[in-house]
Amino acid sequence: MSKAALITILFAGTFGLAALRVPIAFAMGLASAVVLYLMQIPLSVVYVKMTATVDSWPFLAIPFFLLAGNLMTVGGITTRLVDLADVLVGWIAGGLSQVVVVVEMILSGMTGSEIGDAAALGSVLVPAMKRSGYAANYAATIVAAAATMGPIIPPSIAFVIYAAINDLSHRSTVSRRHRPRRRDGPAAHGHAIPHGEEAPWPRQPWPTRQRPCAA
Amino acid sequence: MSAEACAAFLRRVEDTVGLFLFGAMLIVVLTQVFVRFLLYEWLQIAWADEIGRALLVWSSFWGAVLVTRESRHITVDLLYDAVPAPAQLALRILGDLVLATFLLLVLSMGRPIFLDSLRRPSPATGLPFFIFDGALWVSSALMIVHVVVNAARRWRPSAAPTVVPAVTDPL
Repeated sequence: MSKAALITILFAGTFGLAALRVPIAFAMGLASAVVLYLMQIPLSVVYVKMTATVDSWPFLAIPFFLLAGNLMTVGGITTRLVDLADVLVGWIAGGLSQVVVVVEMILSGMTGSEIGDAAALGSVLVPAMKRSGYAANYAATIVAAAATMGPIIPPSIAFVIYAAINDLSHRSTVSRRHRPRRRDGPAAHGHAIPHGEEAPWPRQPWPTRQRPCAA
Repeated sequence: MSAEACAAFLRRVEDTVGLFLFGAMLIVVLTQVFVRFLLYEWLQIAWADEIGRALLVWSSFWGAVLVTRESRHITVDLLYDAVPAPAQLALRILGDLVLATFLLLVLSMGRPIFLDSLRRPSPATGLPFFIFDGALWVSSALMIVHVVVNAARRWRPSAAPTVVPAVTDPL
């Protein structure tokens, strides 16, 4: 069977099964096994590769990233970060949505998981935004959009996997971290400001004595 | 012991094992880091690298067991939500069949490797290689059990609906 046909089977199988609500991991696994069978490669390679891929010291960072995010949320660090960001940027148009972006930029550098960041921020800030009069869909959208900074601000799970798979030093990915931070943070702020100007959403009061205390 | 009592017992055992695996992994890795950076002149623990990786392998596949038990694997619901109830049932059956097929494939293809891992020693600690290669086989067997149990619960009309705990854990 030609390479093109095998590749077609691989992708059509994966996406087709996933579209039919087969769990994505199993859709990928079964499609890969079928292609290996058609290529007459022993299927025991599936077993070996599944174990060998996880058997990696750098991958140990992944569960600990998730643990760190969980500890930060349970331990109240996220709430304190929200307070800090509130003092720093809450007075700008868009108030709490600016806070979301700032907290996410800080969290991204610590937890490295976009889903974890979204869950941690969402549980704290979405209720607060709704109480302040923000539309629920807007609050959810700004949290989701800000959380996409999670994987692109190292250290992050995506960078750990990238470095491990390509046999790179993780430091080489961390050293380029300032580029996405400079670009995406302001972009998200820029997105939030016009909405803040258009809608009658409250700004936080200008901080006076709070600022040095929070810092 | 009734079926429900067996399920509850299995659930407790799985949760406890999962907690133990993650806790042990945390302790081993933190110890390794502490020793490597602070006590490297006096103490070296070569086993920590191997045990840490083995615990990661077990934690990963054990997590897959827990997720299968709760039917919380990542899926795409776009089509599923758009079709009527009979078609949704058909899609669920398809999902169960794919899971069972793949897991049976893993079990059958991995059996020789699994049996060999019981005899082969690992390089650093000399423990059986089962500490790496056994995780997927054991987890696949447990996942098949859960796929069958979940499918049976869905098919039994008098059964109470599968209770999926609320997502209080943000991760």
